[in-house]
Amino acid sequence: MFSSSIDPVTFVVLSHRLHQITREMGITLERTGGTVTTTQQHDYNASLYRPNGEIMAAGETYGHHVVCAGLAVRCILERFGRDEIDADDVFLLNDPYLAAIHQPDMYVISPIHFKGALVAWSATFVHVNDVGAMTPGGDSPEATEIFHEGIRIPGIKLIERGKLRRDVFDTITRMTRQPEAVGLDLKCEIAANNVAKSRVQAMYEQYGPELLDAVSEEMIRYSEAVLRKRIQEFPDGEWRETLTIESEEVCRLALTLRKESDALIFDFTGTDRQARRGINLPVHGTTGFCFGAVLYGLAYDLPKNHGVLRPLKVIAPEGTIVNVRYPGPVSMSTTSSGFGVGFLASSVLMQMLGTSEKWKNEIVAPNASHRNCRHSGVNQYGRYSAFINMAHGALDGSGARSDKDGVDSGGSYMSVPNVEWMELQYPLLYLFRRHAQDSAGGGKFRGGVGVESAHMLHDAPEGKIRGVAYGVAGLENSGHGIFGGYPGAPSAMVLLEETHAEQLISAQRAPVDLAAIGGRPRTLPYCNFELKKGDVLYMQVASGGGYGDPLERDIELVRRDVLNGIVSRKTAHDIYGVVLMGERAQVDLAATQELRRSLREEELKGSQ
Amino acid sequence: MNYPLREHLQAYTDSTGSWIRCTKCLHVLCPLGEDWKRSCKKGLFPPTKAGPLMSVLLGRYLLQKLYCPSCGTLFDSAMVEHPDHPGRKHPNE
Repeated sequence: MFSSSIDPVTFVVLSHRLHQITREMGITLERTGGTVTTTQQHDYNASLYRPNGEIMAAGETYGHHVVCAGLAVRCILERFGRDEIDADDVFLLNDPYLAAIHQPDMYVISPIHFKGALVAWSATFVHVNDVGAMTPGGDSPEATEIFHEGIRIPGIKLIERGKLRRDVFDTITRMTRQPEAVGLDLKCEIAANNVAKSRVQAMYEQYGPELLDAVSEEMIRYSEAVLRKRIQEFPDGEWRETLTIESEEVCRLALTLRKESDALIFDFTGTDRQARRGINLPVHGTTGFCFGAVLYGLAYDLPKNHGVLRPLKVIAPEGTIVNVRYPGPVSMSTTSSGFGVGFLASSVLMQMLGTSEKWKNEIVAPNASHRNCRHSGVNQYGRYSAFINMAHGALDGSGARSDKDGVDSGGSYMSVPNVEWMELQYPLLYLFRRHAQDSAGGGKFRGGVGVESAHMLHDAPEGKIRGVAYGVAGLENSGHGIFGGYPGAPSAMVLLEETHAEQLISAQRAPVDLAAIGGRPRTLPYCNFELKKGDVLYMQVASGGGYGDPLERDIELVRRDVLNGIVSRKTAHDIYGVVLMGERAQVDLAATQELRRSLREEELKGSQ
Repeated sequence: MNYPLREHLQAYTDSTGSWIRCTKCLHVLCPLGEDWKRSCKKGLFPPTKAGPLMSVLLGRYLLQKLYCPSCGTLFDSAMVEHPDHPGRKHPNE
């Protein structure tokens, strides 16, 4: 596959060094960011691009943003032209109708020059805390057009010839509810881009432009060639998947993957028309999520660059949820239709992998993601803030594999801040955060267990804060089983109003049991809500789907799950057909074999 | 060319053609290219068969399990919409 005249060792060293620069950019974002979203939750990406905007070295998080930021680079090139781009300019773009996915994800982009010539671009995004939308934080369930969803920047010079444009910077940050936090996040992006520029220029100085240009070109050619060869190994065919998202309307996303020779065609024909609310995805976001699925499913060991994009074609009819028509709203797209597309793309890809003896061990049961919420209001220090609650995406259980269980609270790309930090910054008290028993999808290998948590107000000066519920609403929003495995339990977000939590605490009883906490439960769809004194917000995130027949699961693994509290004895009996005895959960082998036989017999008796 | 389709399901070719069969009992379900799911023994169960936290799906979804019609090996499980549920309706329709 490696056909270049470049010395292979040099190629590998330089390829890794370019990817290492993207890591260093990420570390810079984490260490200099202005909000927990950036510093602890790692809701960011940092990547390098070729002069024409092709992906040179993708950062480790969020494959979809890697594609979209590349498009943002091309938008900047088109808008300004090379003659108007100075070596020390830095650009800002967040327009979903050009390249971004929703306005809070702000792309900061820097050209990288060497001896007067444009040799590369660096680009970052962070999810800023506010964009001046009708709902604090940006995710706006009531928005019905893009104009309700905050500032939209089609590409602007934030730094011109090395000097921060204070007028532009102040104008943008003051259109948000948290100018300081947003300003800090924009500056951390500038810092990360400065790091990239410095490191790339040092490489050009050391190795020269001819060699580095050749290496970056060869990296892309190599990834494309290997990926196309891998695709070719599978039989031609079609695989389908659907997902339902329940907004005020019920929306279905449909995907057919066609594998033709060495190419993959992701065809979303059959997907519902775009929704009235902002769960619609810009078409480049759809392409980005498909790219992410292939990158992590079939190309995870290749240099991550444009070569992974080239064998892919995406068909997304305009005016549908996966290709929104202007001026449709998009603010909740990333965590709804975006994760939905990611699920569909992974699901069909996994079905394809299942047709290869060589690749079927790489199968992971796909996850259709979860619900989440964002709060805003005055905190215990009298300051206003908007923030994501706990980054629950980081606490999802991941899907099972063909040879091992999914990772408990394995999460996605993000990390999760600790409870104490959240309580220190915001007027909240967390009652519990734990693995949800019996939530994982059963299987020969079970899905990873997702987390359930509950929190209430504490020391909130106004006696309330706002909340907005988003994510993948509906009942299909969890891990899906594969090859006989069961799905994980659906995500849930329930507001318990007027609970007994404060009384329990006063009585020195830990409020960890939902029945004792009590209150009037209200399941939250896409909506704004208030968390008031005495209310509790209960959230259960996605658990992973299982792989294979639960009745084939290793008995000892079931026993261990029971001892660890992940599986109840009833579920061990009813789903896995395992009979356990006594406090130490000893296995009754004969009874287990008989139970498994009779469970299957019973199932088949009622089947047609 | 033989290749897997599921944990216990395989596409295979012999002198008579290409087929889909169960790898446990070698029962042939159908010719390759046809929908093998139609040839399976199908069981529909309450969603709670997949776990107690699935109770929110009662009345909306059913757990569908597909087995080999010959030996009862499980090929596939999925939540499917309950036939009695009014179903989805897009407001634009």
